[in-house]
Amino acid sequence: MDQERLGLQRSLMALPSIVIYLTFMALPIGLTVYYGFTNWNGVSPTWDMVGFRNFTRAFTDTKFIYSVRFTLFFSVMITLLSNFLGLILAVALNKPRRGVNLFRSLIFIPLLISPIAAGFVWKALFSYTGIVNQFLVKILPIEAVMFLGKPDLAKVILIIFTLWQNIGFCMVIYLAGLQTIPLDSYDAAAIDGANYFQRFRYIVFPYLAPSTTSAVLVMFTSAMREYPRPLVLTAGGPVGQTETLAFRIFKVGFDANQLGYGSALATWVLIITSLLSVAISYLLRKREAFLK
Amino acid sequence: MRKNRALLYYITMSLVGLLFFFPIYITIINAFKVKADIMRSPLGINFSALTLNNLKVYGFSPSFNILKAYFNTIVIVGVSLIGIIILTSMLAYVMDRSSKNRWLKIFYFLMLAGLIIPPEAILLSIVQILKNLGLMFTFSGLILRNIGWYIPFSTFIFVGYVRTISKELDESAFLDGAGYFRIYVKIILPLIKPASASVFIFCFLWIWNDFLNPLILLGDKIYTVTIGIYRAIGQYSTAWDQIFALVFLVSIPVLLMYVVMQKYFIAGLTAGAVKG
Repeated sequence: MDQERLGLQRSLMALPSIVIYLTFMALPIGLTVYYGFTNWNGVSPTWDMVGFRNFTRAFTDTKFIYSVRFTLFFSVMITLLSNFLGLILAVALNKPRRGVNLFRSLIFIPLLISPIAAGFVWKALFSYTGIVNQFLVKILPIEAVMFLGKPDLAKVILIIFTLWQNIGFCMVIYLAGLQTIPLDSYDAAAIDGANYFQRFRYIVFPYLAPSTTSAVLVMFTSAMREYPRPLVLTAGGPVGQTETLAFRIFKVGFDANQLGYGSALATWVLIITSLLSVAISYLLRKREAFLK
Repeated sequence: MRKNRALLYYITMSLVGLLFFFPIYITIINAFKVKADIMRSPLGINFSALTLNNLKVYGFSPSFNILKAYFNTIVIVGVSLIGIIILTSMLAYVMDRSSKNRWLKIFYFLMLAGLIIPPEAILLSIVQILKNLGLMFTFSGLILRNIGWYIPFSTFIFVGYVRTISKELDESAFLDGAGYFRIYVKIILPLIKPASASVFIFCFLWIWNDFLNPLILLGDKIYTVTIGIYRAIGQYSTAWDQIFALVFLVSIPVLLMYVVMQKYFIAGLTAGAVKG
């Protein structure tokens, strides 16, 4: 390989980032895998190597398996729905009409609020003594609904709440993508008699490929690490039904003092998320090939 | 026909807009109402009964002081941002202009890993590293973690941007006797302002709203806005007046920033995304 020497100045400019990254990103990744092979509790001065025991134990840990399933379900729902709805809103708000900027802002603003703070508001809306129930009881002849006390309803509310904060992000990414579509091919298709849906299917949608890649990857990876929203809204309940992977790792690693086993779970999460992200990005980038 | 369609469009979009704005509307109006009024009519506004008392009582209690929370969060966000932008823009400049260096190539691939790993997967180990460095429960520990975490994202945005700056520009400066650092400060840094704006807006939002890392790395003594509000309200509270007052106080700085910087916001968020 051709080697280019950097010299003192350039080395000094590159070094701080490299040292910080190695210490606070690369090293922790390595340590997590290493701790996974130990029985360390996180406090005692010594520990033993236990081989793959922690890693295989995960397969029979029903709580961990459940959190994997729930987090994957949650991530797929969030990725599909926020991209679908974000794309529709971007197309609807693409043309510079009067009021468009206001609508864009209204949809975008929820993204700015911290998920923790927003979680309390959604709890105030949907808890048993919350605002929605007060309203329902007043206008309908029914009892208050346990929105957050029933597993299925709680999951639905959690998904709607997350979508409320995520759709704006997808919309903005797609709005930017729509600006890159060459108008002449769009107009030519219209003259050739392509109707609106044909033009969308064969011109708009393919040109949005880079936006789709970004929005899908960001939505998926951020949903896979979800923690604050279920923490505030449902505290992982009812009966652990909305516990995400982050919940599991911390309960095991910090609360139960099983750093070794917690690290093994974290390593599994690392492997699952990385493989899925690489696969998704590979599949989606193929669609971008025609643009190059 | 055309008129009807326009009308339908505006009715639909208004409904969608209202739906999105509803939780924020509820927060803003109820932050200024006494508890009895919130329960009686959560949606209405009775102007004569509005009060600043909730903000005062809950924003300045012994367990949670909003000014302290603002201060701590601004220090963490500010120092992290300065570190991220200066360090990664330097790295990006060196990386793009010395693309044949073997070590930088290896580091580039190491950074790719940093883009896809979930933060909760390495937090247990970061705690151990900070303990060994004596940085657990300090601002510096969290700030260093933040810088490390955003190095891949920020470097990739800057590399993409530095690539668009003509090499002849810095080569001619080099022939005039300027060193690499001088070229970076005098030529590159001023030209990459749009990329800096992107990095600034993204990282500002993410670090300001971050919960997990400050919760675990700062301990019980220091609180940011998100940690403060979480501890002050607690998981099982139904004190709606406290909730709305605190959510209002915690969110208002970011909302104000959005109003002031609206144009940069959307441009900044999308700059990195479309080029891929």
